[in-house]
Amino acid sequence: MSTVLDDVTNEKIDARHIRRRVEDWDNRLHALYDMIGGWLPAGWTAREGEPVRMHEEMMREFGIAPKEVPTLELVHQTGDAARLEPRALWVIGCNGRVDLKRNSHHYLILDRAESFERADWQAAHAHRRGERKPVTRDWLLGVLQ
Amino acid sequence: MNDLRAIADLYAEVDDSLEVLRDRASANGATAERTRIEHKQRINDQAYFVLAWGQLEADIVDACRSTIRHAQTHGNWRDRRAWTRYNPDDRRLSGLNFENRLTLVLEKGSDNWKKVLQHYRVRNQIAHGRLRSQRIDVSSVIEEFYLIQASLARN
Repeated sequence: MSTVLDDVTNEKIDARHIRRRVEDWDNRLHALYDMIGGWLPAGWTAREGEPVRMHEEMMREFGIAPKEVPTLELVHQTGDAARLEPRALWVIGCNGRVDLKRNSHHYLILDRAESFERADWQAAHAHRRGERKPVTRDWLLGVLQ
Repeated sequence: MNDLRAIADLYAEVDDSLEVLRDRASANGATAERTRIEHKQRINDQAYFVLAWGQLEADIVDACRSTIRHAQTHGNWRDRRAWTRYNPDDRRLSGLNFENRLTLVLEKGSDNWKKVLQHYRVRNQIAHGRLRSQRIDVSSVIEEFYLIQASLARN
């Protein structure tokens, strides 16, 4: 088991490890979006958004090519929308961060698990970062209401 | 760590303001401006990380002084003698380096002991002029600092 803090302070990390981390991040993002897509209340639909380019310093350092990672758009029949976008995998303090933005609201969704463990997604409003809650259907309904 | 909560709140406030600017740049298709703001956010993370670290470090040193004082009260000289080498009132704690101070208040090799030294390494890199390219979730790190603080031995 390890963390981002291990990755960024360990001099024995190699390209294979970085590749595995990127692949795992992509898998966790897809799983998160599938989960959220399955929780949508009536009137909302999920669709794939424009992917974003991931080429973090750890990847550049080990010669790993950039990767397109998925975003997710949640659209209400009235035209209201929310967007989930991965911000970074290597964030000291968590195992990756995805941002959810809806109108002027900004939520930070952090994976609190260790590397290669089952994801433990927790979210907080950007104005109340210390008040993290597990990402559940109820949490999502609160965000979309 | 009296000021840690205020540091966490101010960090979030500044990062939020930068995020608003980043969103505006994104909406205007101003990629270079967005990159510039993201760089500011990384610098801001690191500034507040170093501030927060200072709070934890001060608490580790306080715990270390308490531990030495307590150990020097042992009735048996054989239990007390090794501790008399250190003056808990000396500003530099009789030359004890940070790792040794930490080892007096957390079990060497324990998860928290390792974590503190990893944070210390990151702090040193930043404080000595090598800014990092990763983001730091300062709120999560501060939460971790509170857990570490609660586990410090003080006697």
